[in-house]
Amino acid sequence: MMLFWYTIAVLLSLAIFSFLWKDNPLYKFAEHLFVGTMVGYQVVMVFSQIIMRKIVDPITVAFDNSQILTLISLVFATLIGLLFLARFSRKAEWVSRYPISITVGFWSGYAIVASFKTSVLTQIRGTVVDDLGQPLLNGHLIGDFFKNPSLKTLDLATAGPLLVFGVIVVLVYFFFSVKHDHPIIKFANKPALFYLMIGFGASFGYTFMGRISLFIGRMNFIFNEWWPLFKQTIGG
Amino acid sequence: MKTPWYEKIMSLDKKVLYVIMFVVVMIPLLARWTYNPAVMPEVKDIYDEIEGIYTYNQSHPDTPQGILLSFDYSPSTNAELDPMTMSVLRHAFMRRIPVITWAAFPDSIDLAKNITTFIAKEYGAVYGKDFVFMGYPYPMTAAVIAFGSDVRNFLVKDFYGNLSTALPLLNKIYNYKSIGLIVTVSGTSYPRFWVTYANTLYGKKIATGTTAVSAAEFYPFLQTDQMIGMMGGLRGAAEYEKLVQALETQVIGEDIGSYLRNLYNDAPEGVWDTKIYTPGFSEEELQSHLSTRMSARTGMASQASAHFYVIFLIILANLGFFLSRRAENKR
Amino acid sequence: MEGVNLMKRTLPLFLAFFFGLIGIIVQMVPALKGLLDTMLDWMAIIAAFALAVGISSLTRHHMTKIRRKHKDIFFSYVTFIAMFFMTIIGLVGYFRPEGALQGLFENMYNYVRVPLDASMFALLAFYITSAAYRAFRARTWLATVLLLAGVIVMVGRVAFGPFIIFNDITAWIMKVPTTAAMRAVNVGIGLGIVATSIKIVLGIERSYLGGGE
Repeated sequence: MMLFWYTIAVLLSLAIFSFLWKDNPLYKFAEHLFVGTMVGYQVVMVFSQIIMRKIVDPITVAFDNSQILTLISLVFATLIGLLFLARFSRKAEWVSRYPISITVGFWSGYAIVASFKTSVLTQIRGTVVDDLGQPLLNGHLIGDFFKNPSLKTLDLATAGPLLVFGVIVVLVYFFFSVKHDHPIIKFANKPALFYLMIGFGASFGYTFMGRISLFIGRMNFIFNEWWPLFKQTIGG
Repeated sequence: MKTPWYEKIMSLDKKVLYVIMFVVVMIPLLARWTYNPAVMPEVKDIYDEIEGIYTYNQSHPDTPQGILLSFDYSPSTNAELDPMTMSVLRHAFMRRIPVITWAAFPDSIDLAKNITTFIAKEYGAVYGKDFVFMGYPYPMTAAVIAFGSDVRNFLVKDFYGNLSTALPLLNKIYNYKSIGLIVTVSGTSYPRFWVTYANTLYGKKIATGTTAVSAAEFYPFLQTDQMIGMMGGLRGAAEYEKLVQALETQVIGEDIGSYLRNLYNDAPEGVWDTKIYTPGFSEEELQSHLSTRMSARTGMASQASAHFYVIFLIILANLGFFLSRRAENKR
Repeated sequence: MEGVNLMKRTLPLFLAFFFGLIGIIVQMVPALKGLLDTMLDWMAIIAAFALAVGISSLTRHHMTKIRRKHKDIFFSYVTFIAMFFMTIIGLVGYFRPEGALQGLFENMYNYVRVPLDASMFALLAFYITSAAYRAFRARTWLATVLLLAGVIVMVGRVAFGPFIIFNDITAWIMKVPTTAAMRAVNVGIGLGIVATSIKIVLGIERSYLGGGE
């Protein structure tokens, strides 16, 4: 039975890959089958894991445990949530703005402090001191390099200053509130582009790696999982 | 006028490129070459952190620390990320660290469930005591914040419909005080979300497994220790696989096949819930459990040949570009 | 008219402001933990309805496509039958988890949906190869830097034997220039999130209300 399902998986994978030669009915069939199974699966999961788990179960558990206040709160939330169904009516669509405003407002308010601390404060701190609390612009490390010149001491001496310089010039490059013919911005342009190009080049290298891995995964399944099973089952 | 060779090179039919790519990837897989990666510090840090949890649990058996593993990826990126989740789960189950898993997308619920139970079976882990699968904690932000107080109030039932308060593991590990490490394995920017809420607000340690496509954007978080470690792409998965295999050889022995065959021999009845998994391995299942221990390293050999192939293509294309530009300038 | 505007516009904006303030305050005042738990329950239930409505819209969209007769209608029927089949066996399987249909549902997921999804994305490997071959040219010094960085990282991530030095160079590239560039981008993203969140709470940003009055 396992061979049957594995073979189905292999045939469908090959149907998708046939698109590389040209668009064909086999590919179209596989593509439409994918959309159908994906949507069908999501419908079942939304019912079982969302509607049942997030709406029905908390209410029934609160009811079973006689938690009256919790029950009232959950029922009230359910009534607000039901306003979403107004989206199906053109005339009453505006009613769905209420639950949207509540969720968007709450999460926006909640995100302000957390996002600021995560993406701005801690990142700026990381540009001043490292995770051990040592300053990135550290004269001692530069002195160590001159005392003991080696690749390792050079790396330790230059990593911090290069990081600080890079962050500053790239931030200046993306600052559009001041005219770009300002001398500081003009100075920062070329180094910023240099850092950005290295960053994006590295990103490309990683992206390429990522895309190839997905193909390798499929080939691994076909040649190292399905084929041995096929040989074993047919060979007896 | 005859087309110069460098212009022919630059206009090579893409089907030729595709066929060569297919051959270049296929040969290492058929020859079963493997790649032995050098382990990078950011991957070793995750391994050391989990070993640290094991050491802590040895000296605090009544108040163990657990691992929360979040499957924040959909099946489209499973080639890179499944080996990561499997290796981390193998490590955690081998060291008897309690594990809570869940899935971030409706599309990945069964994927997360299957991998969790697949690996749990390899170590005889008991559902409810050694691991739980919470299904789809929607919305994720609320579930992550709920873990700050008591996740059982927010996730009243697990994926299988068991009351959270009835699961022994969740009675010990229900908030961040008992979570030693959060491992987020993601193909998108979900790790940023974990850093924003779990790390910034609750000071929890975050380890990330990510596709190579997203890896570059998380390096700033590594430098500030907002993430304690990162497995980036198939290479990161291969490195962690290597570390876990070395540990498995040390703890269990070289012959994992025999270990798995004999794991459920003379096992007492009724310990394992057959709704979760059936104790025992068929020959087909055994092959699958053994082959997944090497999947990232097997894939890396093909990865290497594909990389060198594309570098060759880029050099060839640029050579053609320079020669044709020089010929144009001469004209 | 004013009453209508109050209901359709002003009240939603006020709710966003009110709940936005709650979102900020519950983080800062530990004594309001009970209120935070209540809010989390509310957000879960409201979001559950949002997702349910989203899924039903998605289903209706595909059904509409099927109803519009076109030359590829056979494939639209494939989509419809697959959708219907998965839904039925999944729902029956949910209520009878020990039954054969639950096993069939899981096999359809593992051996149809997952391989199709993975294969779709695997096609990108070929497209990126073709794109790199056709477009990756060292036309300017900036493009050359990008190209060199990309090549070094590609070698470094699979380095072995004589190429092992590229492993260390790649590690340095990720640790210093890439971290610097990505950090600046992160700071920009963070400031953007904060600014947009404040604008939403204060009612300056209203695009989430949708069009119309």
